[in-house]
Amino acid sequence: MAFTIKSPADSEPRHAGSYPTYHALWHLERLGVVTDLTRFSSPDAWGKVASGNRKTRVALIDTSVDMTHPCLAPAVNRGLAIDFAARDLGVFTIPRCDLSGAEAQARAGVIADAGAAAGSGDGTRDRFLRDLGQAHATQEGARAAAAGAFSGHGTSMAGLIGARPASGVYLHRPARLSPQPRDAGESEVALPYAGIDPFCEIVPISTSAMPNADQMTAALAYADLIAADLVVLASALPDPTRAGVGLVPATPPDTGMVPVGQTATGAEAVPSDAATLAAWDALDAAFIDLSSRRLLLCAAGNAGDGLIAYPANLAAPDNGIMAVGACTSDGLRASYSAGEGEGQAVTLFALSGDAPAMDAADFRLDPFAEIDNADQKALFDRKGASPVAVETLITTDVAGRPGYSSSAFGQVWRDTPGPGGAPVAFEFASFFCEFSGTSAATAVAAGLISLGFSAGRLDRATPPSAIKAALTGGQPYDGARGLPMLTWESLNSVASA
Amino acid sequence: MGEGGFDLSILQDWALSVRADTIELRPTPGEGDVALHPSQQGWSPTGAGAQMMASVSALSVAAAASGLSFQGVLNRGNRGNRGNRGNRGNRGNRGNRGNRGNRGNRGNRGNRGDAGDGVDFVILAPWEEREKLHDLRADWVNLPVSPPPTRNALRAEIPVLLDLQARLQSPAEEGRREEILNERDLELSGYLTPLGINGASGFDETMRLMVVVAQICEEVGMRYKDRWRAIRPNMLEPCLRPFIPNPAHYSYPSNHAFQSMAIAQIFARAVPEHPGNPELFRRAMRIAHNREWAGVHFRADTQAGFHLAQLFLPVLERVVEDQMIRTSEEWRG
Repeated sequence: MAFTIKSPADSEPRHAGSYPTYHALWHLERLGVVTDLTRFSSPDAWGKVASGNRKTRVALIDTSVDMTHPCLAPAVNRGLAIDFAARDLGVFTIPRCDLSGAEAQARAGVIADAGAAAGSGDGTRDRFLRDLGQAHATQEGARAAAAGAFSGHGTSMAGLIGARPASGVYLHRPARLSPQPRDAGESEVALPYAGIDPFCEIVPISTSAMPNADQMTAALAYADLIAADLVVLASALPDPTRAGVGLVPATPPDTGMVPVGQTATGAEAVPSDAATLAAWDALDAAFIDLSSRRLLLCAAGNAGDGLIAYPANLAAPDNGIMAVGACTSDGLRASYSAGEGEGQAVTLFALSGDAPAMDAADFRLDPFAEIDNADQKALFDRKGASPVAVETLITTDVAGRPGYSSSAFGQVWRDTPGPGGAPVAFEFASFFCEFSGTSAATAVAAGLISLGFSAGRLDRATPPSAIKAALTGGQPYDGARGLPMLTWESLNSVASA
Repeated sequence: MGEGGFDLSILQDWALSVRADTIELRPTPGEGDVALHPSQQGWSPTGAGAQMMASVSALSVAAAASGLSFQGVLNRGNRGNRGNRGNRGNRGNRGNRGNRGNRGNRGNRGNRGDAGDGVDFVILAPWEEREKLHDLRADWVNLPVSPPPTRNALRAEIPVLLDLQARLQSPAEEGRREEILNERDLELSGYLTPLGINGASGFDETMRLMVVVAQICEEVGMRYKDRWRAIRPNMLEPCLRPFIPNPAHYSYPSNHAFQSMAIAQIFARAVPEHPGNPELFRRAMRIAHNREWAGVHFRADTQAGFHLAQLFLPVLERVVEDQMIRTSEEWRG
């Protein structure tokens, strides 16, 4: 009648809010990056990264990233970070006056590169590069909309990909808990979190949710300009004709189902004019063009239906675009993930969290959640009911009240610094959060591929479509189990191919 | 590890473990301190799952031996902040709306969430946000907004506005006529509908955010209007008959465009995961373009309003930061 769970978690009481405990970095072991979660030895992955190598450069097109997070500060390239939310042609996230040394040099370098790469054409790419080539003049007076507080999604993506463990962090010790009431102070701790490739560098490219194709076209041109080894895009873009809102029979009908564009439904609030449609066409061409040089990882979408988000639905064997779906710790496709079956296939799956689902096809419930309602408990006895996977990915979060994890404290850092002027935090939990969805899966895939470059298992000179083919080639597709699943082993097969 | 790498010993010396919505930070024992090997506990590490549980078990052993462990609420902690809603008690003061005597006829709309009617959401004066706005005055008082088009360029747009004026009277545009009337003053349903809420369903922080943004932008927009002193379309071409009376201030930039775009931008920054965001932007743009249909704005006014919203966004997200955080908590629950 009721399902059974074949794992040690089975011993947990049901419906009581009592969840099994797991290591926050469980995914590193499951992915094969580290061999155990006590010693963290990683002879084939982290151990193969030579310290003198060029860092793998990951362009993260997302919200802004909280660059002050102790685990992310060493991973983020501040000099190159750029924002398109506050200015269509972009504005550097960190003002020039706040940069020095190598960061200032990197800034000057990219401006010079833009000037050299700019053509005289009228297209968005050329306009953007010409503007960037004169950034000191054109960005005068502009500033980025990249406040750390509203950087939750990007901060979580960046953490899974490339966070570094942070030491020298102090936690405030409240007086009331110490043996001697006046003995308030601080304890030195560490933030023992690592992304999958803690050797890479991340360049945050922040965009807004505004349905503006030019903004994204410029963002892609920037990722190309800075020679990113891979480009990560975990969002669905509202292209009026390519982002479907539903599936209808194609014409002629026997060719299957095709997505209905938003224009075709007539539901658009502001009808697309010719110029707008041309801008989206240009963006579409830019995706394909960029993917011939840079591997482009796109989240397949969390709609839980057959529709794959745009631009993930551009993935094809002859381009370097990968549509990443989500699979779970118990070896199934995540309930929300695209990629179920024929005609709706994603490129590959990567590890992420699960979510309950209740519909005619999928009946997946959280047996550990606190449920005091007999009606809801009875749902667990239905035919086909199965448990959700408990483990969720843990990643970095904006510290303090903003972000996915909140804080009970009104400020992150204590006013009085600790020993040697070190910052003292009131708590550490808000520095981390649970993160799920095909976004998280995309970050996991990006981390693995980045590590593949860093550890020399993937060759930066290999065309993106060839890397993609090698990662999935010959492996069976199983939309129910979420296969092929990207792990460190998958990259092994590339090396031997 | 060398330059650009990381210190592996941090991961060996400390560990984070997760259970439901709590996260724990513990020092792990040094070499040789691990007394229990997984196999000694009667588990055979057959798969990755078993290995994982085994190592968590080792951590628990370590914690028992060590005095130092920190626990924190992970992810769902924001539930605790709901307590802040208690402040709402102050809403009893709705009587203050009387100050806007010139708009007295709208008093009937007081019931927010009235089916079929628009959504008015009344807030107390956002004094904290206004104070922040003026603390940051230097950052927004001189934003690089382009000057308005020349009279010749505006004159060229008159035929377009005349065409819109004629089309607005057609049966097909009945809905738009209603929208224009509804949108004369700030009315939230246009912004709430794309988010899947109707104003009666407990998204008070979201609604307050929208009203605060509109009020802050109204003030900033007025400054820019006064700077350029641009005329309304029917002042250039009197045979244009605006569908609604000209507002009693200058035309460029359009405050409807500025405010509605700012609302969309700010909400999308606060809750970037919301699937309704693109539609929210489209509605915001439609609200702005409807003012061209009504004959009270040129297209250039609208574009300048959108541009001003973008330029002002970095300042605005600092001004309304607290309300944005409360809004994101409302959606993340």
